[in-house]
Amino acid sequence: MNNDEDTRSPDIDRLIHEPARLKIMAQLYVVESADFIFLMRRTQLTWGNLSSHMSKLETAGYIEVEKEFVDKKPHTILALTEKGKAAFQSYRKVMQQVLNEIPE
Amino acid sequence: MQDGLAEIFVGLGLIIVAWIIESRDIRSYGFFSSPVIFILMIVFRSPILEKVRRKVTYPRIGYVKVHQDEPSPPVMVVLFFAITIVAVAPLALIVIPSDQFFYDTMWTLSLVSTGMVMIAASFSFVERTGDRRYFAFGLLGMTTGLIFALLEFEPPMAGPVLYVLGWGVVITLVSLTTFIRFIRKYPIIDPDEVEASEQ
Repeated sequence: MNNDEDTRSPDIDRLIHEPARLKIMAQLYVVESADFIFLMRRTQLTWGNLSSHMSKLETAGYIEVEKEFVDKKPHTILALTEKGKAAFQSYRKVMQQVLNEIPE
Repeated sequence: MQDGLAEIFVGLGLIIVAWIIESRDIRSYGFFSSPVIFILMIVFRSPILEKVRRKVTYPRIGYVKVHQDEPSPPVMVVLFFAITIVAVAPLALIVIPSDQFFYDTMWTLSLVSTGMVMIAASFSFVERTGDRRYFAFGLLGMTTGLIFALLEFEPPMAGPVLYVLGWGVVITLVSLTTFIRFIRKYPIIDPDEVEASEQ
């Protein structure tokens, strides 16, 4: 058995590791679903920024996006998919492991 | 809640309850008018509140659907006692043959039970929002209920009317202030305008 394989750090999911996307994922992890305005307020991201990160997460299958019209205005609702939840849990575990390895 | 709308409904509900008690003498009118109005208020409260929130709250702070957790055991116990008292008191009035003294005592006891409902409601609000200030309202509601129960009123139903009306007015005014502050703090975010300004 290769000793290097046992001691090497686990891979960090770079898609989630980006600060803006991490904020989005963390917000969605604790709720069932949230709309665009809620995420904008909570993450302090601009409309364009949030939109771009949302697309990346949607392409990866981490979030599902539902678009509807309320009073003729677009309303976008986001929720984590099962794949997204699993990815976030795994990311969390990996990060805890990485941080625990750092000596005091 | 931070928009104060749920509390406005609670305040208005209490004012309506006071009005119902004041305008209808329960013994002469029968028991079934006020419960029906009260049930209608409870049934239509949520859909109306949701409609108002869609117009006023969500365009400002957004919409979020939280995971539905079961209420914790202490909240369930307090709610159970409050609901039991509220349900048993009118039933006792109907079933038990009674005299004037009995009715007067029931009016006095209704103050204590309303105080208990206030504390139960405050538990529920704290559970949902995490804001412990609601406890102060609940405790104050129960304390004033006990104080009113010790005071003598003529006629005896004036006590509960004053108590419920007073709390209704206080809660409505405080909640209206919260609502106005909320509207000023969070302007409406128009998706079209924001998108255009960023380009």
